[in-house]
Amino acid sequence: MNNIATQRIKREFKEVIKSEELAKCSIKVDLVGDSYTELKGEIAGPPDTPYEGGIFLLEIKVPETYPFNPPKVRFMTKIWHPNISSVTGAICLDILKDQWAAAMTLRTVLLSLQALMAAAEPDDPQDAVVAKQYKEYPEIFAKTASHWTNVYAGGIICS
Amino acid sequence: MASYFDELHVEEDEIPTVRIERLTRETFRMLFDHDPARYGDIINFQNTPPASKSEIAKLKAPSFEELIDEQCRICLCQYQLNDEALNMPCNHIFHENCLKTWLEKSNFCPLCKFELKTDNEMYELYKQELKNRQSREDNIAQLHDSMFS
Repeated sequence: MNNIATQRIKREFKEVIKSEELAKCSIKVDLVGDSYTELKGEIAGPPDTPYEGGIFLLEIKVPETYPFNPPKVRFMTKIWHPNISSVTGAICLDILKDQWAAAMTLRTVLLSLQALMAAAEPDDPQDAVVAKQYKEYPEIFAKTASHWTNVYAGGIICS
Repeated sequence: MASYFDELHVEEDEIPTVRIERLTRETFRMLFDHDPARYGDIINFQNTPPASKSEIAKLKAPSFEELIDEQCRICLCQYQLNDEALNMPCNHIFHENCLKTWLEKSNFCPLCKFELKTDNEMYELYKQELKNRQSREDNIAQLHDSMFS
């Protein structure tokens, strides 16, 4: 991997470790192996959402051209959300595609994902089935999402 | 026959700026159907085009004082003595190499999205049309306000 990508990830790593979000247990980044090309992210489900209480794992792949191109991020924990594939964990989020800017960091990506979990965008869906349910039957959606959180993300059972 | 609004999928509660952007895109898409060779680039606006080389050449270096204790937000390194840096028109400073690599890919400031001109004629046309529609919408809103207040 080229120098700037590795060097930047190392610096960002420190940034996340020092950040107040880590202290609040809301986001976390870990290395996978020795290289800085593959990382593991963790996001706590935001409060007052069906994801509350769950811990969601992310696969983060850093391209050689980072930070000029965005990291490739995917949910490893299954999640029921209009903008995230319930099958593959693929994410539909503009900053991971055309809206990426070189000054963004792993921290901003994880915080954006947390914001996406709290405010879905059903008009730009990744998972059409989930998006349809979100729009047409919001109550059933909330129940399904919270059930998935309990089963797959270790959430607390709330009735 | 479907109404004009149905055909363009206009939804009442759509945010004005979102609607303007979408309609502008759709207009260009129609132009593309009409003349694919000429309007071929437009539908690929998923990625913004690179900044124009002449615009990049115009960027000026910041003074040494501006770099003291500051960090390039692309590589996240502190500026060292003799580092070459450039100032964007929006006053955001980056290492020369970092910024040039970025602008070869995208035409906007990595921090604030301020846009530099591109060499892509169609993209510039699209931006202009977007601006026109926005100002038209603003004028109508102003007219409404003046009529009903």
